[in-house]
Amino acid sequence: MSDMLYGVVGSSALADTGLFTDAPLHRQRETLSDPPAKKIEVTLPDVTWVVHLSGGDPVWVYEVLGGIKRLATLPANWDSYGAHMIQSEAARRGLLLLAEVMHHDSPSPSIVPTSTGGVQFEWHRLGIDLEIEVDPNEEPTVWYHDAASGEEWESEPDANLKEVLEGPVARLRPRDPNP
Amino acid sequence: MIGAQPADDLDIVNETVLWRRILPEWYVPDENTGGHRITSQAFQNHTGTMNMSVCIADECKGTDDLLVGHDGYGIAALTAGHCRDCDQGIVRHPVEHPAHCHVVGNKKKKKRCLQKGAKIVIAPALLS
Repeated sequence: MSDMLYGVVGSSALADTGLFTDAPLHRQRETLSDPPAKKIEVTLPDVTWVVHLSGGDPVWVYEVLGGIKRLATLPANWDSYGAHMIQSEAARRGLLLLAEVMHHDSPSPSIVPTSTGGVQFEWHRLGIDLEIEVDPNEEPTVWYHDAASGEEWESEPDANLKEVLEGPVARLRPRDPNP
Repeated sequence: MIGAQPADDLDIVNETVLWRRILPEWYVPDENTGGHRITSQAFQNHTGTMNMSVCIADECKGTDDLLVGHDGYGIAALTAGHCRDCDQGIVRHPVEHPAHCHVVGNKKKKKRCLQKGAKIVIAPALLS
């Protein structure tokens, strides 16, 4: 389970995330031994995010933010078939979902744009295929396939994605060579 | 109409190979194979339609015919039969190119079915 706290705020109203804080960074430290929160500023075409990290500095956060920033520069009709520009709100929802389920050592996903203006995070490793599609107009969906067991499923529209993703995300983590 | 079968030209027989242009953004690392794979998002409909563009391979003048003006793109091949197995129909739409067709049907639940049957003919450029 994620042991990190993230806040993602922007120039548009995002205070409903429950992770937003405008407290000075030093107030986020609960004890003197806690490391100070780190702040990452990400500028997208229509909004600037300030991502607060406390308790960890995982590589995947930076790679996901970099991927989102790259996709945000795609123009309308980027696929020549009428694709929409990536909507920052969809990307933000995707990032917050990852923040709830990823671990420090979770591998970074590939990030692809969707034609409706969303993003899809996907991993293909350790015999597993996992895709999280975040559409601007619908709830995110998850598709999972395990080659070893043959297990394959897609999440239901009303699924609790945090619960749905707990097992698959854990299985993607690097395996201990000396168990 | 809900549940209606998509339009389908059966003169395009199941063995017909269809080519689809693949953007570099649609080609992602696959550690399971040690290479790359085409994302399922490459098999979506044109925005607001039920149509996905392909060309009949035998009616193209080689892969360059499909890639002119699309630097860095690749080509994936599917058969018409596989598309039909994914509950899609194939109809001609010779507007952009004489060999141009649409794979018609709902892709929301079927894009991964299509992806599973796609084979790379020309790999797209890898994004840095």
